Amino acid sequence: MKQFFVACCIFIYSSIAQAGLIDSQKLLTAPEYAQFALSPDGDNVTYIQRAAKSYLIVNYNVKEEAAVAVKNVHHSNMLLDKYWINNDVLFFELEGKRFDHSFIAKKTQSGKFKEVRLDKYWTVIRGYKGDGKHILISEWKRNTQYQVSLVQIESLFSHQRPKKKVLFTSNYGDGYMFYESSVDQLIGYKSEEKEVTVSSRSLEGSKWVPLLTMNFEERDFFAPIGFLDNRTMVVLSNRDSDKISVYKYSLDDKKISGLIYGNNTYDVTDARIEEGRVVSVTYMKHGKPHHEYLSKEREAFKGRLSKELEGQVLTTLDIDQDRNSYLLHASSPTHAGTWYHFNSVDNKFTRLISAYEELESYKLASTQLIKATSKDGIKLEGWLTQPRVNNRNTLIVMPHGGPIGVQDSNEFRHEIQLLANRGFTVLRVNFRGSSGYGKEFQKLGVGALGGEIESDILTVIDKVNEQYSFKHTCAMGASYGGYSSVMLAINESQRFDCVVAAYGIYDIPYLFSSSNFHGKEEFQSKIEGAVGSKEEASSKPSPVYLASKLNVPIFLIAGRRDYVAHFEHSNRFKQVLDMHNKDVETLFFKKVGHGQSQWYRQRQETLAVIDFLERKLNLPKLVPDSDDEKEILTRELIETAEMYYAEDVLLEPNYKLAMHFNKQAAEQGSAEGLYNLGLINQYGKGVETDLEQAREYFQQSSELGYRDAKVALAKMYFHGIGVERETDKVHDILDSITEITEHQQESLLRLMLYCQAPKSDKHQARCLDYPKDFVKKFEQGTIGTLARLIVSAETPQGVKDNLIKFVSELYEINDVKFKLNTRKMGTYVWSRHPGYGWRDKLVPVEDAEVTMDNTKQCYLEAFVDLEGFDGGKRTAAIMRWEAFKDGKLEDDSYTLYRGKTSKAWQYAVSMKEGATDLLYKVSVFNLHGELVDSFECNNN
Amino acid sequence: MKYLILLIAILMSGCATNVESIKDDKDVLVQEDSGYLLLGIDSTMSLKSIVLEGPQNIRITHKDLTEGSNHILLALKAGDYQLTQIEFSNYYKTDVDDREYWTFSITPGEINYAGDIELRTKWFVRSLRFNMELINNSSIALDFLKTNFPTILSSKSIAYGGPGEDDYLHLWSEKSL
Repeated sequence: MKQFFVACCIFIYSSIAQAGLIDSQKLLTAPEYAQFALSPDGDNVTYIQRAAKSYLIVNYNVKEEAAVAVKNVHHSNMLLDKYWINNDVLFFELEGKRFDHSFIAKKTQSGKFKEVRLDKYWTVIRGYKGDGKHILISEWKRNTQYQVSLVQIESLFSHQRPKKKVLFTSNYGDGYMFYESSVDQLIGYKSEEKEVTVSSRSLEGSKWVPLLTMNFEERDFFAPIGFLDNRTMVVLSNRDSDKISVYKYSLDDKKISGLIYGNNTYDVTDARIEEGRVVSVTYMKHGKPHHEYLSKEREAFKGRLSKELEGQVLTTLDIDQDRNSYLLHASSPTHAGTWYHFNSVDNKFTRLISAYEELESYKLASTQLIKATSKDGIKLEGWLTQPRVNNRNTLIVMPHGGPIGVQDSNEFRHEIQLLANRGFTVLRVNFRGSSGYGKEFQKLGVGALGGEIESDILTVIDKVNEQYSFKHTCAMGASYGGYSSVMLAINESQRFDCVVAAYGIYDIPYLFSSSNFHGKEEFQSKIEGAVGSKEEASSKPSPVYLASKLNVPIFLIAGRRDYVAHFEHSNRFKQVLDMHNKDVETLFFKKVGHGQSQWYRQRQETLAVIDFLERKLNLPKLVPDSDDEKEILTRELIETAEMYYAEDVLLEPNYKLAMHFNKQAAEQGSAEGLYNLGLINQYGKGVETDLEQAREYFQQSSELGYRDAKVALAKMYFHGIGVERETDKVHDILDSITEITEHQQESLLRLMLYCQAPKSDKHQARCLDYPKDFVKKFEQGTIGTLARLIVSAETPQGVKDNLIKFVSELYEINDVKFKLNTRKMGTYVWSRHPGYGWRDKLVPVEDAEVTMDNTKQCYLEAFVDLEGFDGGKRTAAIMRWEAFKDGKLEDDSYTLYRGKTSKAWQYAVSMKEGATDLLYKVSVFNLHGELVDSFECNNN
Repeated sequence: MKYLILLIAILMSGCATNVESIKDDKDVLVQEDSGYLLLGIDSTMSLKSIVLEGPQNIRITHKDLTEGSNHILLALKAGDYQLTQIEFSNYYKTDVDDREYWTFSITPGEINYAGDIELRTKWFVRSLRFNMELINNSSIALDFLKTNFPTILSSKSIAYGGPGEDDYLHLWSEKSL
């Protein structure tokens, strides 16, 4: 009788799943849930739940079906490790700025957790269970000396010095030890030059016993994964076979002593050892992780659960100490993964949660295995992911990186699902050289770049084309995949319509001279292991030297800080493509390395690629089926525009494209797009400043209810920027804002308005009340606004008096009237001088020796002389700068300086670089708003 | 007295001459045995000096070594040069190890691009830690010359003179890319 309980939602999900447009913000983002671990008694599961700026470490009690938060952590402090020490004590380690921090959290009687941070010099040794009352630590003492001790857990919470029993001193460093409970041995490993030595010792023993040595330079694979008994380890190796297999390794004879499991087709990637037996092995079969069970009980167990999760790969993550409770993970190419808890005593199977709960309601694109045989008889596997919706009749051929020792798989991939959701068919191929198919298959790929490898890809494309036909075909890949994509299009220009090449290599000889260290033997040998010998490098096809033969549009993506495939590859390829007048577009990121490290930027990059494909292939734009879909597409346009507009993302912002995407968004009725267009026109980014156009965009956006646009428009009317000053209009605009959340710009504008042009007693009262509130929330902005009000002729004197009183009391100002005793005044520049470190100081332009940048400063340095004896008195000065163009005010700013007068006061205004037609004027006022001094600075 | 002269001569021979990068786009190569050196510096801190030893011993001073990315064009005697010392400030300096990896050559009558010294520094408990590498950014160097020294670039051929072999600039000069 079927007794498993399967959450109904799985069935419900499959019947109501949506097939429409998926929000890229849901698809290309970090999983909401991750890092699950089972307690030793099997009753508790901990995991993390991500929010926007933080994540929670959560404990879920399976029996009570109750979750409690263990700790809320800022997202910048990444979780490095987390595991149960006993049934009530959890260990976790967080990444810090200078040091990583380890914590022990103990479950209290109320079910909540109490935590304690461990000494920063301690490292908890993983795997030690002991009596459950102690943790095993290694403590850094000096140089390479580490003290191994047992620490009583209870004493950590006692607010006294923890009870510690020192066992011995070791030179196995931080994180280079773990405890292997199956043989009750402490394992240490050490890396020295080209070798890793693994040793063991018991806690009571007196010395380390060497177990085995691994050589980095050995081409064969060799990795120990556990113990069968004290003298026999289990290793994965291909020393004695073509495929990586599971072997016994005799610690006495120091050699492989017998085969446990080998597969004829695939390399084994993992093996699970339980109670001195290898119970299962894992390999990638047809691109999916496949667990083959070597024990009959486990096979039967797997059989029972697999019926419930058909088509999904079920992996055992953890088993409790009584072997009754299991923490399981199920995933598939269309499903990023769900965690389950299974209790074999009562046969209760509980769905915990999915990595991406928000995607559960969508039906993702499925993938089909494509098998083919190359002309020289090599068996190849490929995967074809076809769109469920919006089919664009376009095949994207996506070679993987490497090319040696890397493989593609048929697992859930965010980027591929997004491409498929936007109507593209994606083909991936494990060409010769890929890992997972044995040594010989891998060796065939060495030096086969630009030839046999691409030939393999074409073989699989041919196979696909026997079944399907496409209007367009493009090649798209990263790293080696970028090279391969370009070579496919060069060699087969009639078959490819475009190329997207990211973080690629395009000049093979350059690989050996990318950096001085690439001249070192170990580097050269590594490069030769992928592309063949250095001597033959110049005879290998390089896109840089074949650029004239590329006859399709290409999108080059690169990171300026890429030290794997150096940025130079992409830049010189672009240089040569330009020389040959080829259709090339670039996305060169300023701070990115060998690929994006942030989801947000990855999403922008992928959206830019989709846009490139749509434009170059003249694909019709996707038509949204609903308001929700329209909103998704519009938001994506805004996101893409942001990437092109931002100052520090690309090597050069592309304001034209920023405008293009914002215009598209605006055409879709996006208020944010209209607002952004207003900003572009107001600040003249990529276009001439056009205040009338800016006002129009702000107006249109305001009419759609966009708050930022209303504030921007109101500011234009209040300050008379590009329009006549009209305070009634400002009142109307601000009255139309219904949002009540804090908005600094709006608040400060309201303060100005209610002080200078109140329409009611309520407004007048707000003029005096707002500063008290605002100064606590945003002091600098508030004080700048008050300074402006005090100086402005538009402010009634009574209001000024009250504001002056408020500022005087706030900053304890004793005296107001002063004169300036000027030391320095005029156009200065920052000059750098060597010293202990380096010092920057402002000097007149003509005296500058080493300037960090050419931004000139309008600078004032002066003593403030109060009337009479001024020792200890505090005063305040309102500092204003104004920028004029052709005698017309372009911009200004106010700030308040306050304090004692014993030292000279300094005020520097950075003048807009390159704007030589701007004249800057600095004015100093006392707190009554009376002008004390002013001067002008030229910016040329 | 003769010993004093000898001592001065010895000291002088070990001294590096301070040099400043060429600012004007005018071909200043007058001697047949000299060539141009183009060196890139991309540093996270300003440097006091770097010393190159070879047919001429020279010191590039802080005026050309501000934080960020810079290119330095010099006219020097032809031959092989090595980067031997970096002074970070008045108090911190380092001698360069593995000098064979910091060697570049100047061919007479050519512009020789040596590479970009990428220097990443970090202060840690009052000590200065750093990593440096000489990276071949030929195409970026070429863009720099096109923008800032078009006259010199049009009158001289350009080649890579840094560690390893790279024909890219040479092929560009020959218009055979």
